[in-house]
Amino acid sequence: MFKQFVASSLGRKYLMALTGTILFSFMVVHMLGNFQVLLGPEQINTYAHMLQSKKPLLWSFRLFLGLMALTHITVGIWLWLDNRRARPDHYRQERTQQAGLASRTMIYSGALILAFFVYHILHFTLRWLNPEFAGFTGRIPGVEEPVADVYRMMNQGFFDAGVSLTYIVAVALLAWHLSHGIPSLFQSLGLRNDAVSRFLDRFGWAVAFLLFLGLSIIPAALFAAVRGAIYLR
Amino acid sequence: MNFTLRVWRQPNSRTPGRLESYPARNIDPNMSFLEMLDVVNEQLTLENREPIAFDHDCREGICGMCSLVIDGEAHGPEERVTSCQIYMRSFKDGATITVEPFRSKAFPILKDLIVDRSALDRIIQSGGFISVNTGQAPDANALPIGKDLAEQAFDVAHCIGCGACVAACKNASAMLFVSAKVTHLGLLPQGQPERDRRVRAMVSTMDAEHFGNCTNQYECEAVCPKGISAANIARLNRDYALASLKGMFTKKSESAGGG
Repeated sequence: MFKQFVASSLGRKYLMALTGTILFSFMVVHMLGNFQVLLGPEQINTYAHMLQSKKPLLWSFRLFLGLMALTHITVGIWLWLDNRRARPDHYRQERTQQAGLASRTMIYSGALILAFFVYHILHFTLRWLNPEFAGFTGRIPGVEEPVADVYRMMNQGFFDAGVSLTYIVAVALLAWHLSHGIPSLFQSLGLRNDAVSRFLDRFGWAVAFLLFLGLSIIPAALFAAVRGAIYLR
Repeated sequence: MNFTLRVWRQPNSRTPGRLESYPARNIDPNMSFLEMLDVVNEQLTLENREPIAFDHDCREGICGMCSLVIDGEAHGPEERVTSCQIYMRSFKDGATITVEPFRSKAFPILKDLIVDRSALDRIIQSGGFISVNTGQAPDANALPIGKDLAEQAFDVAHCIGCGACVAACKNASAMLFVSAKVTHLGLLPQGQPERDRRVRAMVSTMDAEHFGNCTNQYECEAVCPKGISAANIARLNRDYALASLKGMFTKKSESAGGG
């Protein structure tokens, strides 16, 4: 019964909506956490140390998010393949009535976001792309041993214009993905009617845009600050 | 008026089809699209060529038989009408008009522009019966139904099952159709006893018929000749979730036959 429910067309839509909501919520938390880099080294390094010192909690959280992302991706591809099979022969002439471009390119924006995610992990989490980041350490009050200097790592990371631009383009893509995803999740979970549908569409765009602003301000501000400091000196 | 038609010709479901061009000359602007096709077919018959096969019945927009994709739009360029209610005055003189069948894996092409839409009938069948007592007709006011509820149910009862929602959907999904059928009975007191069973059965049949999945783009409601709102799909999603949840905690009776 449960298996049948999850494999059904509607069941998979719920899965997309629920996992999408969780991943989106994480992005909001991630953004708020990273805002602390704008408040200086002590603030962000204390926050990073607080997260790093709770290994079991950190790893269960990562495992949970990974599972959510995996479900979102797998079910998304499964649905996409199903949908392609549902119309084996295409229209020779087709006029789209009201489906937005974002809604028609979800699989591509999703794939690009995944590619960026891999890059992001290699860049700042595993630090394979910049092994020198691992050597950045600093001190924070109340802790004896030196801790990871996330402040310096982020400043160094976003010193490069190409890297900063990649991050900004990636979060723009994420916002684009969410501009359809947010209104869509309400529909999929059955929380939409004619009275709220226009509001939900605008709400989706507004939230996506705010997330884009919030996430892009970090690489933009760090890049501008570091370059500006050098220029002024 | 004169037109050039590009029409999908396909002898049967096994042979691949292609677009072929035909001239349509001396067409009265007040002819319906199907009447224009009749004129073209007259000419083709006189020339001893195979006439264009297309579905039609009432020709007044209520039977749901006509099923053309005209210039890339299911039921043509006008809003809230079926193909038979499209008039030639909607087109520019000298225009080239492309006519294709409703395309979906669930709707195999039988010939030219005729597709087999019995998958929709099988979805309806799987919905099953509603429990209404036999005997004398009930008193008019024995079962009060609020005006608003009655109107909402009637709005979706307008669905004529033409399948334009499937044709217009980017994923050939039948969810607008299924949501209309599920909502129609689901809103009314007469539909309550079998409500959960009905929505589960209809969704399960829909999936088995190889329709696609809804990606919330609402192309369906834009072409629906009866203006059925895609918000009904949200209600379908809600109903199905609740019915499935309840189903997980209920054991099916051994003796319940038929339902």
